[in-house]
Amino acid sequence: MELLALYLGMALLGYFAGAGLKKKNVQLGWIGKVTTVAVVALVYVMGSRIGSDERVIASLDSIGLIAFVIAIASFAGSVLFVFLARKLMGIDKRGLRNID
Amino acid sequence: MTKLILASVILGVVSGATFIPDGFIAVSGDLLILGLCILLFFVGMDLGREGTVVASFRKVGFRVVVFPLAVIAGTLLSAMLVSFFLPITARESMAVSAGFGWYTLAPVILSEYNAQVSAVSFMYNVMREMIGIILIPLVAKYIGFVECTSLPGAAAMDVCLPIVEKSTAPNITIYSFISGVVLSFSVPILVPLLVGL
Repeated sequence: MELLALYLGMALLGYFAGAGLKKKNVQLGWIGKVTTVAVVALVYVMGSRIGSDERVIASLDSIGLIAFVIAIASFAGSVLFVFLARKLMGIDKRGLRNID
Repeated sequence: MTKLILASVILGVVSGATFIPDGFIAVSGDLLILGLCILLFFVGMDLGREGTVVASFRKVGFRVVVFPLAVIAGTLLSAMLVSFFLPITARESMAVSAGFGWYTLAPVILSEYNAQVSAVSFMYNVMREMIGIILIPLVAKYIGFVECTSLPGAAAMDVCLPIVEKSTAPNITIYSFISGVVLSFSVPILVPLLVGL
């Protein structure tokens, strides 16, 4: 719960900081670069944690299969629920409301 | 960008399996938390600077939020159901599915929890985005325009937006964008919550 609050807090803080900077018309071209460096460093460290766990390396194929099954299930569940929501809201196949 | 990220992950896995000392792995958890804070701050900042989020919501009304909520419910429920046939707990399966294709965030958060679940999460999220992209035109054609925006998850707001637009109609891009925004925000909430971090 603490990490959740921390992560969400940082994102919101960033959002308001960004909105504030926009009002003052400040251009920050380096943000994209910082984000890229942060992402690359993070996924590298994450990868090294995965790689250092022998159980993961020993079961990479079954890990891939589990991921695939959850992915296919997620696609089916998402499409089904959005389909039901769309029908309930009276929106047609092309995303237009029937009363429009 | 995708190639760069995949290369760093593979390089990380290889170096973790070979030369990285255990001492580094032990402190890497704290490093990840710090890195995630920096990343989330700048991701938030990007959205704040763009300033289109609130305007987009106003344009279509808040009822568009129903669709990403349906995606969340459908994803979590189906992940829970398939977990009964998989060597993974229902909560872990749901936490994996709640990454919504954000493969640079969700598996990093789960790295704090368990390396195996983190590995499943990485692969799941890459598949969610890649297979999602392939399925967009098919679902748009045979099922419905709004449904296809649910496939890639978080990427519906950026990477997949042009594909959604080409496969559907201009009025669908706003659904896609909002869906991506809501799902993106739900990743740092749902993933830690589901595994109790």
